[in-house]
Amino acid sequence: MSINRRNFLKTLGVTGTSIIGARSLSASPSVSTVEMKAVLIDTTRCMGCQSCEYACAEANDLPEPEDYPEVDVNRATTTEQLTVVNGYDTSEGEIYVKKQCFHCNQPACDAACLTKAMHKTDDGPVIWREEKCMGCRYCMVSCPFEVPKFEYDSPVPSIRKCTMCYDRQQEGEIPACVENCPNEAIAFGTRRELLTEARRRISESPDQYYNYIYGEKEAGGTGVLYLASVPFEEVGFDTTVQKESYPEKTKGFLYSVPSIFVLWPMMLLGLYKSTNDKESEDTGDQA
Amino acid sequence: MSQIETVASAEAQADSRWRFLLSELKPKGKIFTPFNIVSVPIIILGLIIIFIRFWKGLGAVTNLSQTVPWGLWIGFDVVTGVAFAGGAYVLTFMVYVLNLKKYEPIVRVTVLNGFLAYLFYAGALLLDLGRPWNVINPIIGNSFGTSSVLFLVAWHFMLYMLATLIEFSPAVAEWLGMERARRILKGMTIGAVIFGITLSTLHQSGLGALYLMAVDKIHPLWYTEFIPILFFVSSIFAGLSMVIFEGSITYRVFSEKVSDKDHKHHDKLIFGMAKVCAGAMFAYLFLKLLILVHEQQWALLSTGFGAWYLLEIVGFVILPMILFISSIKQHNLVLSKIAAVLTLVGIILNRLNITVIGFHWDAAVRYVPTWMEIVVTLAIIFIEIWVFRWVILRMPVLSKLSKYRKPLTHQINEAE
Amino acid sequence: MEDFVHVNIFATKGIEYLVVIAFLLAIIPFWRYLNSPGRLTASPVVSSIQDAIQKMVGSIPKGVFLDPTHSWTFLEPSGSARVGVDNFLLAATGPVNYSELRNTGDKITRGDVISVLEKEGKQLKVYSPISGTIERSNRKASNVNSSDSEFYDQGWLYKVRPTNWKQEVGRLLFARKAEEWIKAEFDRLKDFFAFSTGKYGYNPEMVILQDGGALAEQALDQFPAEIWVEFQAEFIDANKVD
Ligand code: SF4
Ligand code: SF4
Repeated sequence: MSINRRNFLKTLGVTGTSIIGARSLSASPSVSTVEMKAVLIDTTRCMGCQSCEYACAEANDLPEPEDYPEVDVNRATTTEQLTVVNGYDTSEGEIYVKKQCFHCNQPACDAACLTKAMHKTDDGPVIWREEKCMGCRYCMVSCPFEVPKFEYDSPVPSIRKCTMCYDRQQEGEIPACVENCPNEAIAFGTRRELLTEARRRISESPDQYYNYIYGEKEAGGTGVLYLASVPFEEVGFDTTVQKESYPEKTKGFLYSVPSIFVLWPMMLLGLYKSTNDKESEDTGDQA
Repeated sequence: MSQIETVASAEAQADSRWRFLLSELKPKGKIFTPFNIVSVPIIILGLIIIFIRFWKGLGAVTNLSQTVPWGLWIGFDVVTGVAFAGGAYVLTFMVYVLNLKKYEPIVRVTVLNGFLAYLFYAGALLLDLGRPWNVINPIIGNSFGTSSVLFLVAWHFMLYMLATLIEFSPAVAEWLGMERARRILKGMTIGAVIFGITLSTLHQSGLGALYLMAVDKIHPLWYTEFIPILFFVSSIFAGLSMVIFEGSITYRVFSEKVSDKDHKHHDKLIFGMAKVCAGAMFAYLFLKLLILVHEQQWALLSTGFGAWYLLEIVGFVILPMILFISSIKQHNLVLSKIAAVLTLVGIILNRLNITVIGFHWDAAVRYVPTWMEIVVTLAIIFIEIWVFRWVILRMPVLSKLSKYRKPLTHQINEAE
Repeated sequence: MEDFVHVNIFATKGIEYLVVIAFLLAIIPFWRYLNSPGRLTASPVVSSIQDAIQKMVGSIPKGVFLDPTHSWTFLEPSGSARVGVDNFLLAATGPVNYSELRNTGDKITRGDVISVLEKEGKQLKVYSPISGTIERSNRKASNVNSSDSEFYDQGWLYKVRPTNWKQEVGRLLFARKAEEWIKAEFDRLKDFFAFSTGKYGYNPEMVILQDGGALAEQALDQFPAEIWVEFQAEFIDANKVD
């Protein structure tokens, strides 16, 4: 990083680098050194067997799922079902899609959280920390995929969402759903590896795949990548999601705050001085 | 005076200050007024609902859902309430910074209103928190989510309350007859004012910025990257309209506290504020237009939501602006007051359009607040009015102290 | 690179807020220092003579007569007259000692030196506006601020039983005329200071503030004894009318 900085300054000095280059370097004050972990979900291999749902429930001490994927019934994740499989009737027949938190590269929920309870770990998973959260639900307002779920019926509510089995990862294990998928529809690895793998699959069997990796660019890139045989809107994905990351939306505002804090008081003091100067002896009201 | 005597009299003074405070706690005035008869049951009901909310969870009393996590309590109490409290920073700016001395008589009552509004409406935020005991986390610093707009807004609320408290504190010191303290506090006023204006600029706009990441969820006619600027500008006329509206009620209800001269003076001030409102609204309209052009949303104007949008703009911004102007031209107070009420309705509409009505506008199941949410909201407003009344009847807010109560020291002397 | 490792775009926010807090803490002393008067004008009360004059004009009570040598007198109902130094002089000199006070019982004639204003060895002589017998002298006169509203009640030097009141008072100035005269004196004073400043090569900031017109109170304080002598000649002795 420090070398990059220096290079960047040098280029800036000598050649006057492009704004884009300047942005990516100067706006990244804290770049982690570990590669982010990610998950690749290949919907062409998913049979809708719900093994992942059961594994997820077990790993997270949640009740077993009571319903099952039905075509064109949209099951949403809940506080007790952190991942769900939905079925879609498409031009290529029935397709099953597992849904859960996307573990965005630049998560809106993390940027929104004022206690850092929602937290993007350097390892990739976006986790929620009970002892910090104050239950304001700003993460829910901000998440473009509406993933975080809140326990409305509890006086001691938690926010629930998939954590990419962060605890298991810490112990060297892989996420429960990945481990338990009988058809290897879910793969786990670094985001770099998985993107390469996804590209390889598309290029090796171009007629089997729709040429797009959902999550490569969405919301600034996500930690869960999807492959499908049909255009993604056919299988319930929101393809209008913006490609920049969501925290970029508040960046302008947040970046200007310190400047306002410096400029306003100075300006107001000046104004005050100029309007109050004439009456140097004025003490305001006498008691 | 010898040393011993001084100590003794200081003790006597402290003692009688307590006696004084106790006596001030007793209610003044009639008990069975229409306002009390309406407000007391609602407050009691509200408190019961709040109790249920903490006992059974938010779901028991609200209609909030996984897709609409913020409802009336945030959209109205916090977002709208804080816009209404904007009058305090605008007026302190005019009086202390611009040195427009004629507004001085109403600055105290406005600051008091601002402080109470923040205390209660921002306090409503606590009701809405699922895990309120953790609210200290972003305060004491073991978890600073500095990337969050809400973090900024929450901190600003607290700091701004402090600033308004300092701005108001000379009145408290006068009430308690603490002359030295009053002088020190008075000296801090301009600092507090400047700090307060800076904070207000940032959190008024910050309330809008809260919704910046909800880009896919808010109706495109209301979502814009410029929400923060719109919120800031509209808080100017929202706040002043509230001052006009509130002022005409306060001055009627607490009529005996206000001298005739001040009554006349107050009318003049209303026209002054109406002028500022009209100016701010004029700029606001063009901002709205600019944004409409920038976001290229005019096609949406022909939809149902477009009509709703136009109603908000025409009925509750353009119309009150025209009313404000003609009230100034015709010297007609009533018009100003009508305009102020329309403006306030417009602000409620605007804020709710962003936070509630236009939020997931396309969802199959819309969020509608439960009656309990509404009762709690009303209860909070009523409690605030109660506290406001308590203060107004005792502290030198509407008039100079000497008009209706002798300074404490005199009372002490008489008591002895 | 951003695509594969986590980048926190808000990483420095916390530090920035700390900087902001530091700024807010620093701005108070900074602003105070920026606006504090410079060293040369750092006398205890820096206001301007203009202010003092403004206060004086319009506040000369009915019945107060000014002598062009900058003393005043006022006839009490009891028949004795208060005599004092006008606040034009006091504003120009700042706090001074009154010395060579006459004693009770002394007979004075109009034009006699009744007091000497003294400051660090520099002096101004003050003449009596009327003739008579001194009944009382006021030791507390130097405690009274020349801009106080009580000035004419408390700031007198002597009470004198006048012997020739009617005639002498005819030569004195009062009401509108007195005020106009004071204003004219003030303009003269500005010129005087500007001139002396040039003559003695003093830093003009000492007396003439940035706006070019207002004079620091106690301006005379800053000047050497020669200027005091000139001042005596110009504003007191030259004004003697007999
Ligand atoms: S999908 Fe939502 S909850 Fe998951 S990381 Fe992204 S913003 Fe956060
Ligand atoms: S609800 Fe909890 S996790 Fe979500 S933003 Fe608020 S504090 Fe953070």
